[in-house]
Amino acid sequence: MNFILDTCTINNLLQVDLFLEDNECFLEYNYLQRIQKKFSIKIPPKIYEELKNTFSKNLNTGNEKKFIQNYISRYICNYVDSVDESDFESSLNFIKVTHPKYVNEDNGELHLAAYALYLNRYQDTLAFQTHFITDDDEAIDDFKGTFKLNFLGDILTTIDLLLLMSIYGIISFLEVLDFALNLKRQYSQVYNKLINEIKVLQKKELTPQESGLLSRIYNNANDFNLEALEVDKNHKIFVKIKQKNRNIENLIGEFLTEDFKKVKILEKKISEIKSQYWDLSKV
Amino acid sequence: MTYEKLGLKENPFRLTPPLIQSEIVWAGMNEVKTNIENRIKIAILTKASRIVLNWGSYGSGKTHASLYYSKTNRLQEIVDENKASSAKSIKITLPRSSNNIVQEFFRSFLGQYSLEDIFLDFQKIKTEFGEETLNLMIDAYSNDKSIADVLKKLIDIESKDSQDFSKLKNYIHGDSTKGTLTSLGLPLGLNNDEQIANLMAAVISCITHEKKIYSTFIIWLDEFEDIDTVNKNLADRFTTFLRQFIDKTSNNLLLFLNFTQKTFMDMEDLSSYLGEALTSRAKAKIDFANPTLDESLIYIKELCENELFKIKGNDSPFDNDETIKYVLENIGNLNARKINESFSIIFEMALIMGKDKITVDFINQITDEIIAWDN
Repeated sequence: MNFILDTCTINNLLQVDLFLEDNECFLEYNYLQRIQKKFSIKIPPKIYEELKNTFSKNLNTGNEKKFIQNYISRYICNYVDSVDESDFESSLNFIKVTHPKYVNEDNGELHLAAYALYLNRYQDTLAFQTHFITDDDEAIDDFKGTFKLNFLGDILTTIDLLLLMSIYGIISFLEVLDFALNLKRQYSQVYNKLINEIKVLQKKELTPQESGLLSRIYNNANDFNLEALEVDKNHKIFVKIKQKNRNIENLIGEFLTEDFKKVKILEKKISEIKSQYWDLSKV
Repeated sequence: MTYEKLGLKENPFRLTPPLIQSEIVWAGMNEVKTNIENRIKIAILTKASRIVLNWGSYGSGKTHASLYYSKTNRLQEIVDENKASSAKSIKITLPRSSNNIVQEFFRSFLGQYSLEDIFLDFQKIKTEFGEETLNLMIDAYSNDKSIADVLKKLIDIESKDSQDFSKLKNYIHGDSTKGTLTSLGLPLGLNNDEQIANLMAAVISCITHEKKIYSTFIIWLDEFEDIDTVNKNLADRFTTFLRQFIDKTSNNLLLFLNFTQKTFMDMEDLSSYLGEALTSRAKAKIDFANPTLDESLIYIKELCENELFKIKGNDSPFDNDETIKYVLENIGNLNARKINESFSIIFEMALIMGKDKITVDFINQITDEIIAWDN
């Protein structure tokens, strides 16, 4: 069985697993290598490239960055498949023709869909043996038809992948739930950063109007009222808040552009697993 | 800015705690107050340690409650009403900035309940129970020989001005240099989470032994919801520590966990962080619900009437209750923070514009300034 992972999945599996103790980094579960022992993780060159450009985004310290960078060049590089370029190109073109919106969007998901097709048609991978792992719901929607029609395999989320691993005894069911909680934390980082900044700022000496506007921003962020947040950002008092804290404007900006759908999908998934997934520990 | 024109000494709607913290005021919100005080009463009168979850939205008054019961003499009043020994209450904010989360928590603990205080309280135990019994207590409650040695060192010290005391203080604060250890005759430094749990548990158990010196020890752990923003292994480490500390302090501890609801963190997530053992013990929950319009009205009137703020003999700064209600009806969902902010703005505007009475007409002139005003 092949698992082909998108960039975000690999980043999450590493970052959520990262442990920092006394300034030393390590991976607590080392999911990728444990999966690789029983199954085959493969990625096309494009994913490796994306990985090198994005791995540091959510990492805070130099040590963490160095550790992950090392890990990528030491282990992840072994998953990279140096594809036959002309065969891969023809798969890529096919996906582009059937999915016109990707013609001008040369991203990892596109390459993974093409790669699944390439493995099945040009290499000797059997039908239903290549599973695409992504948490990007847009990509899931875009490619699930192609995967089904071409008998390639399934499209699974990161949590699905880990649940599957729990069936094979590679990790425990409780560890999957623990991972899910940590992934949720990761996905809600932008939200938490803004909320925390407001809380810290509220403890300082502010005028009632500044404090009032910050509370309003807090509530609008909590309610995901994006339109109201835009209005808050242009409020006359906001200029004064910015003078006291330069960071707050950026954090609101990040919040406004962040896609929180992933958190909501994940929350739904967690509750589905808790209620409908059969696990021996529930018996 | 002078509030005299409005018949007030200062703004009653404080946005940050006052300099003199014993002057923190509780107004309105009677249901929450009763619930908290019932919990404190149970802790004063019964033995088993308990965890209570304070649950509410941002600005609902959880931190205020922690300060009110830790800094004012209200706790002593409750104790007196129940004819019990004193109670000790401290507020600690969930540590978030340090690499050593347990050490930081312990420092905050010592910041509120210092080694000097502990020393004096242990002197009282000695007087009350005798040195021999105190030694037995220390052995029984420490779970750990080296922690017992530390506490026995403490009770042997003559005065807190002595050199030994300051050495012990350094040790408690994490100094584990050879010189300090040798002169205290202790084998190892205090740098292990479990030992810190043992030390805190032993101190609390001794000073509440038979409810003689203190009837209960209350810790308010504020901003606990931020556990999901602490580095994963630090969060694990902290909850493990908390579990150990609570397991080892089986009597006379009341832990209030303040938890602000966040969109991406629900009760189940909180349980996952706390773990099975703590969740099953945190059965009691106090709901810091948003006040109704009538409750808010009482809150505002009680604050303005409080003798700390009102100049004797003066009338209310509002022409009538309808004016207050008019504001409350127009600022959306109510909570203490929002009310304080909105009414602070109204008072400031009244002072700037030279008004001595707040009327509906005046409010209508300044709605643009009241940030929470619904358009």
